[in-house]
Amino acid sequence: MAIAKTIDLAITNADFRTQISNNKNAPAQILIAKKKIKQIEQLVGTNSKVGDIDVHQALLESVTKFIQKNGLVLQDFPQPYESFSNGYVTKTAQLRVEGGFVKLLKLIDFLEKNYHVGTVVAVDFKTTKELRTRKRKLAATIYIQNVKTETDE
Amino acid sequence: MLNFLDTYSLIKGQSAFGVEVIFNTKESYTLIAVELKSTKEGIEVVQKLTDITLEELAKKNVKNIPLYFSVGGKGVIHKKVKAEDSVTDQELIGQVFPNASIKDFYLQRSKIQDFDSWISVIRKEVLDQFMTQLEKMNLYGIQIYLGPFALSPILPYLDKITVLTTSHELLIDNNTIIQIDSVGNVSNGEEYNIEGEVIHSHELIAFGSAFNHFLAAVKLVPIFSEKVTEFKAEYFYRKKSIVVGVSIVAFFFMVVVSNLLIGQSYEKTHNGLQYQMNSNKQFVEELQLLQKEVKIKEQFIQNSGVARASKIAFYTDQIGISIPESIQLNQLFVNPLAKRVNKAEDISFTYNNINIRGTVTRSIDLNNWMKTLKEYEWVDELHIISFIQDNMKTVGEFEIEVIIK
Repeated sequence: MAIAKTIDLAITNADFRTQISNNKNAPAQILIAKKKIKQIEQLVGTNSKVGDIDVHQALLESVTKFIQKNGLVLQDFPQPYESFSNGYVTKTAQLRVEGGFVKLLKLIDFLEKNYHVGTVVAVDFKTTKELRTRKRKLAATIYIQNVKTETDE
Repeated sequence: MLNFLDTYSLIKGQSAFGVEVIFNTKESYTLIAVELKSTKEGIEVVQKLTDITLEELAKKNVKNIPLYFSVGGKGVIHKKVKAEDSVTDQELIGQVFPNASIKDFYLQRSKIQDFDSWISVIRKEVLDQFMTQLEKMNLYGIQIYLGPFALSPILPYLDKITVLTTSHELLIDNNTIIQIDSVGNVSNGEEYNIEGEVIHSHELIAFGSAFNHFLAAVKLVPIFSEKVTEFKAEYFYRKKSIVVGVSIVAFFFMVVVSNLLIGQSYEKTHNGLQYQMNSNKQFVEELQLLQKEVKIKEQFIQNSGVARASKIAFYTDQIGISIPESIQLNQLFVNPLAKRVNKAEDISFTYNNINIRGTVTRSIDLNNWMKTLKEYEWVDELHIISFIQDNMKTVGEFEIEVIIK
């Protein structure tokens, strides 16, 4: 056996030992990683309860009652945008509601606290001037996002 | 070459021949030889050879061990002189043979005490002829002494006042030869017990000469002969070649054997580690995939807004109550779109950011309002993106950006 081969073996063995030592806790680390993934998935609302719900429908149901009760007007409620990335499906719904500032604020607060299918990620308050009456009107475009794993789709 | 090794017994050798050469005439001589060997117990006599020829000696010296000669008999003259150490050989030879040249003689000095020394001389032609014979027989005469002075290292072991050799009676004082008397050709001789070895008087000089291999005489300055130096160098060179050669072979043999054993051990360890690696492979691969997935998902979640607690109503309310009458807002966008949305993939928001557009009659009112906003603990930074007011009669249009902590 050549000396070079013995030296190579010694180096390889040292490398193997380091790898084995590093991988000693692999099973425990697997559990930790799985737990992290579960936490992330819980965070984005991909539990089985939410998985089967039609997000768009659920949102409509949540806001219509509130809107009627508070005299707000749902001006626009288009189909949500849907994008796929890193194994997740992101649905971004938007609804434009016209009404007073305080009532609109209450609607946002209501959605933040009671709507669990998605998260209010952005709100755009905008005033417009009605040409005929010269009155200013306020509308808020509320963006609600829901993220699920692709497998839940 | 590697002269420092010469003192090591491995190079020097464990055995030596001591040979007494007694010149009867210029051409004829008698040889008495004793072979000594150093063992764990001490120095032992291996063989004693009396009245042999150089040819016989060469045959007996199968291992080519070194020879120490003591030359005596006709042609060898000893004289006690008074001289300092610095006196030259030429001056000394002048004390033995006035008008003689040192070029013709070999000279040996043996100190007695203080300025008293023995001078021993022999004609070069006599000894050179003998040395030529040695060379022919491949005998390594690495030291040649004259007379009985090679005995000095063994005199303490004899513990005698008079010592009898083959042809002389020596008077000893303080382990030094102080007088040499010839006893003629025929002597009954005596036996001496030296550390358990019984040596007859006619073997004593041969024994003493060989003894110098192990314990060299201190007060003796032997003859200088290029031939002897050559013999000595050749002997040591040959021994060193053998020892160094054998050492190199042994070293490489050890390296090869060690490498083989270590290699086998590593191979065994390697197989064991390989088995462990394969056993863990499944876990490692699974872990790598999971870690990759965690990283991607964490990054995705961080970039998405769903993981953040929505406080939009709170921020909007806080801004709403702070607005003075002189300011009218046209737009308030909490987490505005990062870019125009043309397709679903374009939807991305600038989180922790509020974009406010409106009008104000006086810029100072805007400035004061911004100061109020800055006091909110959740506000990190506040920037004016634009402010346009054509004249004092028209309202000024502004756009500001609030960065949330």
